[in-house]
This record gives sequence, structure tokens and C-alpha cells, in this order.
Amino acid sequence: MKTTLKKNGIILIIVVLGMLLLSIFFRDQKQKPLEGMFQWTTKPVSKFFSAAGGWMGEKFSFFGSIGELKSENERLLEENLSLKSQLAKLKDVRKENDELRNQIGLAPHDAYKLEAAVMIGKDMSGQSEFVYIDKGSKQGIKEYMAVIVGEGILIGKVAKVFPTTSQVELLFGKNSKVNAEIVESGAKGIVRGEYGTAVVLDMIPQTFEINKGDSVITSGVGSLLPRGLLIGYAQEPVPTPDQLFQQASLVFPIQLETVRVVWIIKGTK
Amino acid sequence: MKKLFFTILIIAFFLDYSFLPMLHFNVAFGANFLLLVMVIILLKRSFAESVGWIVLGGLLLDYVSITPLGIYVLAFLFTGIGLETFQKKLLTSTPSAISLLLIFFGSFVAFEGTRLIIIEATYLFGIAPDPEIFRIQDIATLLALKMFLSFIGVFLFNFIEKFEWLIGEKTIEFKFDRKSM
Repeated sequence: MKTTLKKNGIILIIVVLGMLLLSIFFRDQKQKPLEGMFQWTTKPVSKFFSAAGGWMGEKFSFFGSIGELKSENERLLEENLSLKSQLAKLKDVRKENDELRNQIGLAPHDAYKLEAAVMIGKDMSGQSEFVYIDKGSKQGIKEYMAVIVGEGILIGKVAKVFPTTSQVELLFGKNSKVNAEIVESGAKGIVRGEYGTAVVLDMIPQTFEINKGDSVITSGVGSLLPRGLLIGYAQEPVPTPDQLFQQASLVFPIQLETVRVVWIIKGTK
Repeated sequence: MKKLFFTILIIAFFLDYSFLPMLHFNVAFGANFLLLVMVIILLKRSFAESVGWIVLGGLLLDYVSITPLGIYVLAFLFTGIGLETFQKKLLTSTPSAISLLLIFFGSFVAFEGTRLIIIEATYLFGIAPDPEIFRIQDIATLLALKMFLSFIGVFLFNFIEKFEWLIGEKTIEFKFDRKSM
């Protein structure tokens, strides 16, 4: 019994010291030793498991929504009628939109050099602030590049780049900060993450009015993020504790949990 | 047995890392299946024999999390030591499903606790980033998830026990040690 305890103790001390030394030695390095090789080795299997998970997730959500299909169908029929009338009006608005985009310098979706990527895994710390995608430096991905979905909805930035994979920090990551602007008022502020749970539009001067539902876009100031990517919609504003600024939490236009395919903006055409 | 453990460990890792997050459950899954496999290995092997598996499993998790290298290995190590002590002191030769359930649940909770304590401690020494980002957001969900996993753990453990002839190796026998009580 004593021998076993002694043996266990020695093993424990050796491994603990080894791990502590590793942690201390590599604490200032952006990447862990051999992290790129690890990502390269695990990527094919990760892609397989991620695809299987995505497929199964779709099946789950389909079976889960069967009960709602009838009411959903009725709602869609009504919506279809209303959309038909709106379509005619939108043709006019589109022309106006193009002119406005030119005036304020927003790039349309097809003006970006995009790289499609698939999520292959999520951070295991339990906060879901980071995801891994299957494109890396070999495909021209660089740190701080914007990661979007759909027609230009920002979901995060590239945080770390490996040869064949990259780590993406999602918008609600604790260290995530994006220069933003409210479309309706032109007020500029900072969108920051709140510990993996929410996103807040902060540092908006009290002189600007924020209304619930205002669209918040990237301002394109001081980073690789181009101007005009949709971040979300503002909720009720509240003053900051020092009363100098105001802030509002944001609602995402999409459900981030269901995203599997993303686009990385490598530049403009 | 080594090949079997290795295969199960790797599958559990990819289930946690790539498969479960894509199911749209809206739950931060973390290292659940890998943890389950680690506890089964620790129950079936002595601590000294499990160290290799602990380091392997811990490093796999360390490489896909933003925590500094070694955090998961240390958390597994301390959980393993605790588990072995507990097992030697309390378990009988034929552990009941309830005691197994308690062992799994206790190990999961101990692991999460140990992980957070290590992160706090390493933060004090300037190794880890701000530990606030690792705080547990929803205790109730986490505990419910761990309880669910404990049931799976008991099922898997009994399954392996029943089919040990197929695996080709007898597992460790639990002994009731009165002297150590």
C-alpha cells in the first residue's frame, strides 16, 4: 500500500512539474508547441465528425419542427402574399440602395475576395467563444480577417492561423472588440463580447439617439474588417455607469449555434 | 486492451470536439465523453498505469482549448488521484449501480472544480489568462448534463464488465479494505 502510494506520488510530482514547466515556458507564445502539426493531423477526422454532426443536427431540427409545420405553412402563405407586394416596392429601393452604397462606401457582397470554410470543431473550455475552421495560411488566411455568413453578417475574426486550419474568435468572445457604427444615426462605438454570452454596443456618446432595432454595422476603422458588415440589431440603450456614454446589447440576425459554413474576407476585388 | 482504450479515447475526443457542437443543442458541451472514458480507464487501471492515458487525453483537450498547455492534464491527474483514493477506501468487490453512479458524478464534478481551481491558481502566477472567462455560467444545466453522463458511464462500465471475455482481459477487482477505513 505504502509502495503504491509512493510510486503514485512520484509519478504525480514528475507529471505535475512537467506540465507546469510547459505552461510557464510557452505562456508568452501565441501558439502552443506543435499546435499546427496537431491541427493538421486531426483535421481530416475532425471534418468527418463535424460533417456527421451537422447532418445529424439537421435531422434533429427537422424532426423537432414537424409539429410546427402546419402553422408554419399557414404563416408562410400569408407572408408570401405580403412579400409579393413588397417586391414591387423593393425594386425601386434597390436602385436607391445602390446609389447610397456608393455614397457611403459600402462594398456589396460580391466585391469581396471570399474563402469558404467549414467549422471542424469548437473550443473545449466550455464557453464556445472560439471555433476552428478548415482553412489556414496555405489558403491565404491571415489573423484578424473577418469571418462572415450569408450576405455579409459578421460572426467573428480569425484569431490564430495554422497551415491548414484557423481559430476564429466569435463576436461574443471576451476579448472580441469591433469598431462599429449605427446605420440610422451614424453614431460610432465599439462592439464587444460579454464572456461568451452576449454582445454589447458600447461607447456611444449620449448625444446620439439609439432606437430599439437600429442596425449596427462595422465602421471599417482601424482594422482588417471592411466597412458595412452587419453585426446585429440594437436593443434598449442604457447609460454607462459614468454617464458619459450609452450602451445597448445586440441581437444577432442569425443563430450562431447553427452555423457550419462560413466565409473569410481576404480582401476586396 | 491498449488498442481498445486508445480507439475509444480518440473517438470520445472527436465526439466532444467536432460532433456534438454541430448538433445545435445550444449547450457548451466541453470535455464530456473524453472525461467519461478517462474515468472508466481510471476505474479499470491503477493510477500508475493510467498516467499515460491521462497525459494523452489531457493534451488532446489542451490543444483544442484556449487554456494554457497542461491545464487539462493536471485536472485529470488530480481527479485520478482522488478517484483512486476514494475507490480504495469505499468500493466493495461488486459495486452497485448507485455507488458507480456516485463515482462517475463525483468524478465529473471534481474534475470541473479542479480545472477551475488550477486556472485560478495559474492566473495568480501569471500563466493563464483572466479566469473570469472560464466561469461556469449555468450550474443547473452543467449538473444535469453530468448526471446524464454518469448514467451513460454506469451503463458503459457494466457493458465492458459483461463483455470482458470479448476484450480479452480481466478488469481490476474492487476490494473492500477494512483496515484502511
